[in-house]
Amino acid sequence: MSKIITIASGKGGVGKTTLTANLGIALSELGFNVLLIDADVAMSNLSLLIGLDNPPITLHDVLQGASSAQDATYQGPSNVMIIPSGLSISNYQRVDVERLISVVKGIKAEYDFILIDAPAGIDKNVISAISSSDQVLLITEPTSPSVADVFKVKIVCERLNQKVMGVVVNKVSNLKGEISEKEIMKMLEVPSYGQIPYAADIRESFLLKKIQPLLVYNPNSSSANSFRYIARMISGKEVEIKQVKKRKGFFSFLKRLFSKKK
Amino acid sequence: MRKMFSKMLTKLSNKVLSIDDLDTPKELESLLEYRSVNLCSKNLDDFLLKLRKKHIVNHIIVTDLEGIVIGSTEKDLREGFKSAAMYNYIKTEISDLNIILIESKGWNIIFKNSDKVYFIKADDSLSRTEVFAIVNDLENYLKVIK
Repeated sequence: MSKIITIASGKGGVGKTTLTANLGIALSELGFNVLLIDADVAMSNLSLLIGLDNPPITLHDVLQGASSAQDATYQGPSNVMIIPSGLSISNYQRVDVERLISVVKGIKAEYDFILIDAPAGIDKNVISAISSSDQVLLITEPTSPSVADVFKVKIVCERLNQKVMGVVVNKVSNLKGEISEKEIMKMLEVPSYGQIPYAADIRESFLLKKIQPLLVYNPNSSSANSFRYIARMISGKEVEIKQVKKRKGFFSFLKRLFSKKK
Repeated sequence: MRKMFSKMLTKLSNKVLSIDDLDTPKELESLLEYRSVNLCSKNLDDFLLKLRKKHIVNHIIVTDLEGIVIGSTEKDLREGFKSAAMYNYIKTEISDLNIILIESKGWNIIFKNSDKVYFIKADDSLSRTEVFAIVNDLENYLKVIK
């Protein structure tokens, strides 16, 4: 049964596209059929990161009803498939983003995982991306502005009755003042799907003449493995998902203490 | 004395189990009120008030096809009365429509294939997806109370 996951953050530059691309490749490495959809119809980047040069048919054409989703699907690294968004501004203005819901529904059966890269913000484009999926995976930096924005996305998900599966904390460098993973989980009331370190090789992968996803550029690095860890969790291969700890009182502490000793 | 002792022990137990007593950052406090709105209600008007809060809209009105108000968060009910005339006009022009969605002066008016008309007023224009999310919540509630 296929799983459709939208990756959203609210704030821009948090790492939605990086997570979508690398998570897609990591899931594909695990043997799943994966499709990535660049739902950022205004500021698309996913195709650049995957290494597609000027695809002739894009999501813009599909959302205008001029092409089918299959015609706009291309192959990326590690057999991951992608529906890129167009770069044209004039085309973007003619796009009906709310059509995405029916487009995704139509191709759902062909893949094990469909990852939708949502745009920044909480406007109509984001709402369509969220509504097209079964679940939403949030991503945030460990900073207050980023957590505030991801919180707003969570509120939007609740309004749309969409399930938030968890949160990924990106660009973690353990500096003083960073909001901890535990705090983020508690504020958002969702489990954590892992942390991605603020690593030089992720930045380097963007500075190449031809940009590459980290899992292609430096597949054996520890940051690449953090994407693989998230992929294993999502696919059910890793069972340990950190849950939000509920605050409990002294008597419940005693109860747990004695039950441990048994 | 007993309370103080219990508080101290609770703090100690939380420390031992590494459960943080975290404070929400100030910038997030205003957002907390929108989190997880409980829609359990004793009547339709109460439900509409909660639904309005959940979906961050100004007003919600439900009428029947005659324009008679079934439930509302708005005192001015003129929109409800106008609905029947509008619906009848559209139906005479295009008879086989299942859903009619009209956006006018901040109001989203939805005639779905049922015996109800839903009016939603919002400051910003709502996407179709948002409008239908509200209507789904409404229809689920109306099904339960039927």
